[in-house]
Amino acid sequence: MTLLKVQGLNVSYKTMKGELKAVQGVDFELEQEETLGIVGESACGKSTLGLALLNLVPPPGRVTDGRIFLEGEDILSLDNERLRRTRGKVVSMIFQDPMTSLNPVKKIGEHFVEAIRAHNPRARRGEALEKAGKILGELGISPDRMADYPHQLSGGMKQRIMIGLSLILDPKLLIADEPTTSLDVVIEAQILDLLRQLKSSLNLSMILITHNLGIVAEVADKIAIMYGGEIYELAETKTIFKKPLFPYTQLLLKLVPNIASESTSLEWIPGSPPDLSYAISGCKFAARCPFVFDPCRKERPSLRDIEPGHRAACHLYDGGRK
Amino acid sequence: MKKESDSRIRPAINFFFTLPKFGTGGVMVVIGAAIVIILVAMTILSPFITPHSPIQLSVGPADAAPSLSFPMGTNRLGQDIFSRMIAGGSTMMEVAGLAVAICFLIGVPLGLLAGYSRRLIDGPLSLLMDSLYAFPGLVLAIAIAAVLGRGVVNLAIAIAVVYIPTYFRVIRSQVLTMKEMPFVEAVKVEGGGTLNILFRQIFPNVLPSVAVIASINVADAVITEAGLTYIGLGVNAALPDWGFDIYYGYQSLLAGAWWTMLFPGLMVVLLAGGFTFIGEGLSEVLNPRLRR
Amino acid sequence: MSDPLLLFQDVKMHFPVKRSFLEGLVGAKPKYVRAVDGVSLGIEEREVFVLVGESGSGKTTLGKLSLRVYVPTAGNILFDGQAITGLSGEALKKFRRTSQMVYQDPGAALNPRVRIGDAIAEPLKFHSIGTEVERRERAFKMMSRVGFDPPEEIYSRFPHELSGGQRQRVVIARALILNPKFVVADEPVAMLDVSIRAQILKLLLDLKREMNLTLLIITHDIAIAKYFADRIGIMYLGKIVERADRERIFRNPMHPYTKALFSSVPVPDPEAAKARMIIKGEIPSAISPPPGCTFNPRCPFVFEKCSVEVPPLLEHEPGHFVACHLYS
Repeated sequence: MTLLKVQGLNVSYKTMKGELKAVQGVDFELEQEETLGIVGESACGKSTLGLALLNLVPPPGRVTDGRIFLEGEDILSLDNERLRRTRGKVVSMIFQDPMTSLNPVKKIGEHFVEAIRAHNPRARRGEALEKAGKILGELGISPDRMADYPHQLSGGMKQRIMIGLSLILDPKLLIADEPTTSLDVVIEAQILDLLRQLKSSLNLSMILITHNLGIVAEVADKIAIMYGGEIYELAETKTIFKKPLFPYTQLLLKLVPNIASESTSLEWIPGSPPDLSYAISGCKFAARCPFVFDPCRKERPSLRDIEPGHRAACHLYDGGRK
Repeated sequence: MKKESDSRIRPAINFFFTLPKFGTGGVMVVIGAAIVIILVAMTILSPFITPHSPIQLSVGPADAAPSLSFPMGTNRLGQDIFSRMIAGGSTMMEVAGLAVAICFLIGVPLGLLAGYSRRLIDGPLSLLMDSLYAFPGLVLAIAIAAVLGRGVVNLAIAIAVVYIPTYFRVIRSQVLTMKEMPFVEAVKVEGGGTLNILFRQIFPNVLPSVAVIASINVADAVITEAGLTYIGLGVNAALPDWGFDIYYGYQSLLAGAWWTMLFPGLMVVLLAGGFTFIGEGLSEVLNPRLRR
Repeated sequence: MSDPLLLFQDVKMHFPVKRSFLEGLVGAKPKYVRAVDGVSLGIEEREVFVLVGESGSGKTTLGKLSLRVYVPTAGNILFDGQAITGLSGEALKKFRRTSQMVYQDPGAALNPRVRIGDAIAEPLKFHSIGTEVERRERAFKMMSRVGFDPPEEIYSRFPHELSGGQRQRVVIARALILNPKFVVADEPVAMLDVSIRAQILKLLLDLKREMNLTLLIITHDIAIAKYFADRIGIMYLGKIVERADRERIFRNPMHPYTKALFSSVPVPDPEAAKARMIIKGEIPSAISPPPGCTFNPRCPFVFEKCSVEVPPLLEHEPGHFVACHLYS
């Protein structure tokens, strides 16, 4: 059974300027042990999408439409108690900034005990700490660190602790929102390596949300490109890099610096990402697209299979144009 | 192009009308401002609108219940309470207004100074302010008022001294955070001096919180003034004053004349409440929680 | 070969760590954060020098030292032949006209209550240059140059009304309005979207050419170094561990840290070989750095000498300097 199936998801925020459609009509699936990379720039809706998968979108935002089937059950229809039990135990999430995700007045060990007790109030301290120690070992942290307070640890360590906390209950799906953005590149490499190991050793499914194509090239099995709140391309990692269909994807690949390559010039896309507080008709990328033509500004392209296993939303591929 | 000569009033009025757009905070500010403006206008116009003279004795029977000729009844001295309510806010407003002005002129610069300077200046200042802050407000105000004596200015000073530490603390802590911000350092690198940094860079950013404190301050000052008057440390008893009426109405209350205390009490609550609404509303409007 | 425009001579910047009351009572020795711990570096006129390092390397501190935001605890800094460490008053103000900074976070580098045009013209005001009308004209010209067309539209706006990229252009305009000789850009594009980073960097380079500037770019992003540097310096825990011109350093990275840094960058190519030099551990505290070569606890090639003696920065190929015992 497909682990995760998202259908027609819409998330909006009520702001002073009106209704901001942060996520629009998102569809995708994720199988067991698969890693999906969701790539996009700021305000493309990827973080909101991540939060929606746990039904954690903060007000004034809310899910306005769609379904999220986790192991066959629509988590948007769950009552609070069952939702609470799903979070942490089936789906878990780590965020960008580990500095603020830990309670500064609690020891690391306490964090783990709390997490375990949230789902099993009768769990014994000793057992909880033992389990924590084991998982920390797999993450490369010595168990005596459990007696430390967060401020005594470095950024990379805190992020590893966050990963440990999110995995302590053996969830099937881990959502990581920009997990390495605030870390230095050397530590980032360590964390990515770690995530890759965990993928295989724990049979973990992952959704990796990031703006960095380099990261997903290493860790993801398939990639979804998000722009202006919508998914515009979805395919296997190799396919996306070899044969990108959506113009934004093509440009994105050109402007990601590749220090292993010989080229010495960087590209950019004129204009800037759209402000979603104003409704945009047609394709959201039309304003910056080098291949824009008539239908682009009028009609929203729908995400369809252009080739088997390769979906794109672009009028260029509508009925024999390209 | 920036139009330097544009009047400031029009934008200010427009600002008020756009406030409800800011949600509950905006509505609170508008309600509070409306209450305050009405009360202040009423007080200013009192010489022209009071049906009877507020200070004349025996315009009616003593402790008479509310009636058509005396909508709020009379007090023990036979004075018309309704007229006294219309006119009785002036002392309170003067004292509260003066107190806030003193707090602003002393508390803000000291807060800026302490936040920006090194320990040599900040240390003693903070110590002084913390000591003042440690005193229970009303007790301190009473003590100072007792020493200084009656009078609008003295009362204002007594209230101001109690409140200055609050301004000081809030501003100092904001300055401490702000002076580390890149835009302050940028000014240094551009060649700007300390004075410019304090007044042109930091102060405008601190102003919103000052506005919030000031509103609550006025509300508090109003109640303190009423309290001080109640215990006899207020201003000249000859002038109509809500606080005084509450004090004096106590005796009538025992005789069953509830209107002698209720109405002045309500007026104080209304004025203080109006300012509180402004302060709380402003605080919510300026709170970045509203933005995404 | 002319003298470098900016010269660091064994510069050290040690920040005192506040002692707790008890520590002061027992007379414990004061501790210092050795942000910059002995840097000697010359930046040539009209070059783009990119200083690469991770957080805690001291690169930002070094940048700020060159602008006299801090006074070094030891060593000399010479700008255009003149020592800037002892300057004060009018002389210091005069120096400020020559060296400016572009900040990392355009949202925090602009006073939210000051209009864009006023913020850009501000430096002129501080140095009493021109009348108000003249200053406004110069601000308009600068705004056009950084890409605001027409400038009048943006002049009276506030920072929060602009996008990140636009704000960064404002920061650049403000830094250049005094016609400085030297500009330090601290992570100039780190907080901008990937699709506009190159645009802003190109703007900086274009302006550098037009205005004959000398640029010191501070970053942790090696790609920026690859695409924009004339020379590159790699910094680790307060010291420069490798320094060379761009081609040489990418062709032949010598210091183990440099090698690890280069191999750690995620490559956007799923087929690329994943043979990567993973170094363990984290950057140690700058308060008590390890003895000898500060990289020794993490270095995969460590041997005895490394934890005993500090390796000097020596030239191993023409123009290529490395501080590592492997090469001595």
